[in-house]
Amino acid sequence: MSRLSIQKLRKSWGDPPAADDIDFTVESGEFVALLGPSGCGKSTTLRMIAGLEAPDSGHIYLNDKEITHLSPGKRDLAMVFQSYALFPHLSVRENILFGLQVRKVSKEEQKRRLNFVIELVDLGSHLHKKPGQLSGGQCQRVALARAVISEARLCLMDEPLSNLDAKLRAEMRSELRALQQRLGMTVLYVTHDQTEAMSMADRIILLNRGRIEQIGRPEELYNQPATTFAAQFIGAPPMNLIRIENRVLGVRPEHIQLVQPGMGLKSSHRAVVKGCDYLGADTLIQLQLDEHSLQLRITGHQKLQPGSSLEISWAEQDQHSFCRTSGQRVAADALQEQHIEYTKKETHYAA
Amino acid sequence: MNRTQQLHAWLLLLPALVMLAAFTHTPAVQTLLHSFYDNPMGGKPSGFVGMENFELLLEDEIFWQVLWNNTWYGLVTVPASIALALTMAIWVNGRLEGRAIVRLAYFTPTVLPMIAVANIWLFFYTPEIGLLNNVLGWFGIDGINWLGDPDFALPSLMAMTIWKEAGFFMIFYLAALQGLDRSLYEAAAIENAGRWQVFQRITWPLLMPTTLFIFINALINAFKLVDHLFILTKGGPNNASNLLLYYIYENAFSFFDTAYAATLTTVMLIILALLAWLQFGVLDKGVHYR
Repeated sequence: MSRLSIQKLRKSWGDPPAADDIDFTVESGEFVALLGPSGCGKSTTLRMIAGLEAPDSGHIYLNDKEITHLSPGKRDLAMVFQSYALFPHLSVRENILFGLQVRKVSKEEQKRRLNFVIELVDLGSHLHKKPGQLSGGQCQRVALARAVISEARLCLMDEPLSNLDAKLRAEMRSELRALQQRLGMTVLYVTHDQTEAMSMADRIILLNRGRIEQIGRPEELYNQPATTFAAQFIGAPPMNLIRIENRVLGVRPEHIQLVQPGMGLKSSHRAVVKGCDYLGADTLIQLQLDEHSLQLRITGHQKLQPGSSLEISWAEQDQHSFCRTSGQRVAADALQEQHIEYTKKETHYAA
Repeated sequence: MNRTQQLHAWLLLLPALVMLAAFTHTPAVQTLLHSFYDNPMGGKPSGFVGMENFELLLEDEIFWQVLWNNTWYGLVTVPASIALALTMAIWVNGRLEGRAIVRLAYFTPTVLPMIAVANIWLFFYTPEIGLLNNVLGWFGIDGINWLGDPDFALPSLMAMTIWKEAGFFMIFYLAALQGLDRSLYEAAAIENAGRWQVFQRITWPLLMPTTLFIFINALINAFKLVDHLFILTKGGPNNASNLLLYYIYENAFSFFDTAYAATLTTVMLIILALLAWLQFGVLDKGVHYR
């Protein structure tokens, strides 16, 4: 099947570059997400791979064949656009078959593949409708069908679910993943939504300001964020970062526990409640720990008065440490030597 | 709607209705009626003559020639100016160095009044000192009396009309092209669609509403625009370049045969109404509107 390899890709329209030093591979049958905030260069990277933008430098290989300077149609890939890019004057059927007709695939082959994808995305009763008569979710399926029917080596997706409402998006997420697994498609998927990336992707490439912050499996990004950016971008609400001397200490809100007062745990800290957000299954509590603001997530509906104090603690393995200047993760063994730990400032609690 | 709102609505419509009725509808109806009467002569008022004017018209060889001229004029100038407009619009819609200047250049003929345009082209067509014949002279080709030769007079007018109209229509195409979704073209590019396939399967069908609009305007203009005839040929030589509206003008204001002019006008209105019905009633059904 297919293996995409990107080497030292760069594109700039000014300073800073839109994408710089982009280096990664997508293995055959893999679902890889390009994740990042808007303007991080993820779409630019995808469009360079598609051939819709010309890179300033770098190389793109698909199956060991260099495609960096080929026209989009000669790269043997399919693309699903954010706006779906369905042809408004053509019926669903003609939209799906457009690529095959243009490529002069035989009529029987067209029919065979059409029947297959129609059944796959469940569009049977809408074949003769125009895109304007379809719902957002149905348009999405047509766009998907158009990509699947090409049987291209690689399928690029540019935020395909971002125009759908929340409920439909969740449905399409699992449907899309199931489809990809069933067909063994190789997918490179651009999104700014970490939930999409975490739930669907085999691996995530996290981008920030045109550069790769971290590449890894979803649990790697969650458990071992490589930088403070990765730590804050993955997870909702974001990881608490506490700046101490030349280190940044990180703890996820869901990893902070409440401790019964008076238990006298060595590593517990007293914090002051600033406010509560009730979210249904759990409650988000804003805390003030000395001069640091923290968030804490606990299950159930908790009503805490602002100004009241709480004892909190967290396990040592849930604590992350980053260099304050570079933002890079500091390895655990290096940490042991220095033994960085959050320590109370006793003076605060003198009263 | 209640009564006050109804009254309000009619009051708001009133100024436009009065103007339309006074200067469009009443004259049109009077023209229609007038075509069934003869001309007042001496002290005698005009009398009802029934279909006599129309019978005269059917026997009028000049009428048939003028109608034929106008049909040719429309058949050539309308498709040619549309094709030219579309080509220019696609050309200046691309990533072109200095495209603002090219767009302006293409649009200039539209800004000029028809009378001014005709005077410019008179200089091109003039037999002895004209630009065209001078250029032909460099290649040792004998000049043509463009406006004086019955074979060339009408085609010469057509060429000028196409030049004048294409720039105007280009603006509509350009606006429509810029409204098209770029991602459609990107999707087509990923499918390896060639330039012609993209034009034929995407651009042309999506521009259809614009094309229909332009087509209607071009066809109406083919019957309506005769300003250049006053400057260039006055319908001559021997009616070779005469068009229907100019012939109506001649009858009404040169020959003072107002009854016959009214009859010709009635025929022209019928033709225009038929064309409008053809366009909106028949062609419109095949157009995809967003």
